Amino acid sequence: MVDICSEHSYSELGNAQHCTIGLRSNYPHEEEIYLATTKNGLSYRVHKRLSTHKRIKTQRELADYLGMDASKLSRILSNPRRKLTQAQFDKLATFLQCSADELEITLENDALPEQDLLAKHATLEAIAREQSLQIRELAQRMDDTNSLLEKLQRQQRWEESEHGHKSSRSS
Amino acid sequence: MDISLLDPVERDMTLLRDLYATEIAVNRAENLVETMGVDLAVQAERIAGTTTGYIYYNDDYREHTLNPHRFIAFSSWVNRTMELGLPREPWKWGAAWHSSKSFWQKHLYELATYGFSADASVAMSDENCVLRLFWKIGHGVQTMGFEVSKLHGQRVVDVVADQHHELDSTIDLPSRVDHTLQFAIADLTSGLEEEVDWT
Repeated sequence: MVDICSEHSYSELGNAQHCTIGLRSNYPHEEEIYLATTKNGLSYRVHKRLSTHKRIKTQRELADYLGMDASKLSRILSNPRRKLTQAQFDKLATFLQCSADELEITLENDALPEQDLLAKHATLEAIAREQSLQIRELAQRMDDTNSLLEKLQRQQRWEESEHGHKSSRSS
Repeated sequence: MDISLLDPVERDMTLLRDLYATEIAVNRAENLVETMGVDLAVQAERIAGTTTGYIYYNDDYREHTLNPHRFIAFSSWVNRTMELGLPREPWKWGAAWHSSKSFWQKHLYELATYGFSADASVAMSDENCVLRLFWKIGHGVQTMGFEVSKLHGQRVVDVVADQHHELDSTIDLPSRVDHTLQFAIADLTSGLEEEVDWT
């Protein structure tokens, strides 16, 4: 969760250089143009968003929007141990059109060394497997409750009609 | 893209992106589970014909120790138990509450086989009883308790038993069976003598 009182800083949990990723400029991928300058998750997301944003098209324009100079933004994007103020964090989330939680995840992941990323992957996989089972079973339980309700209503109707018959016979 | 075709640096970037996507998916799934859980609670209230008294959620049936923090009593239950001079936690009701091995074995078997179970054998007053609906959700078991008339409680239990019989004859049943739980029933209930581990 986002603590609105705190600065958004992500300390190095190991050797952060392990996950500071510099990519070749001739990367044969659909996102080729951005990956030349992409060094981590935040950088990747920012460059991706710059290509689709209506007004903010360059890193310099983004720096103006965030109220900082271009060199500081460049440092923020390249340093996984970056520190953001709450105002910068909020503006960045607005620019990226994502929730505060999503941005928080991106920043946290950038600060993790590779082995922690892999461990996180494994943990998430276990959670996702359990969630998948839960969703499947919840859907099944919903079907079960529908059947139970139908049966219950049928039985109640039958009991009422029986009761009606009995009272009409006795009268 | 086949990740093995990428060089180590590109693989790291892909890992980061995958992790991000998975994390978002997990967050969304969490919300979905919560929403579906609420829907299930609404349906359970329709079955009971009254508002929920309490909910007890066992996160993982493989660890069956009672966790009092997962017991949530609603105002109606709190007021009613106070009125009757009973503790709000039903496992403190003493002899009236079940602690027998066979009772839990029966319900755990039904949960493992069909995914749901019901009980209305605990009296709350001369006219009313506690209707408990048990739902297996993944590795968790959710219990919902209601105060209902003994007549309605028995009616629900009969309907649940009828539904179990109906499921016995369907081809759908094998896909429902939780073999892990089925095999673990003996272990799960072995410690039960006087103490109640499942609410």
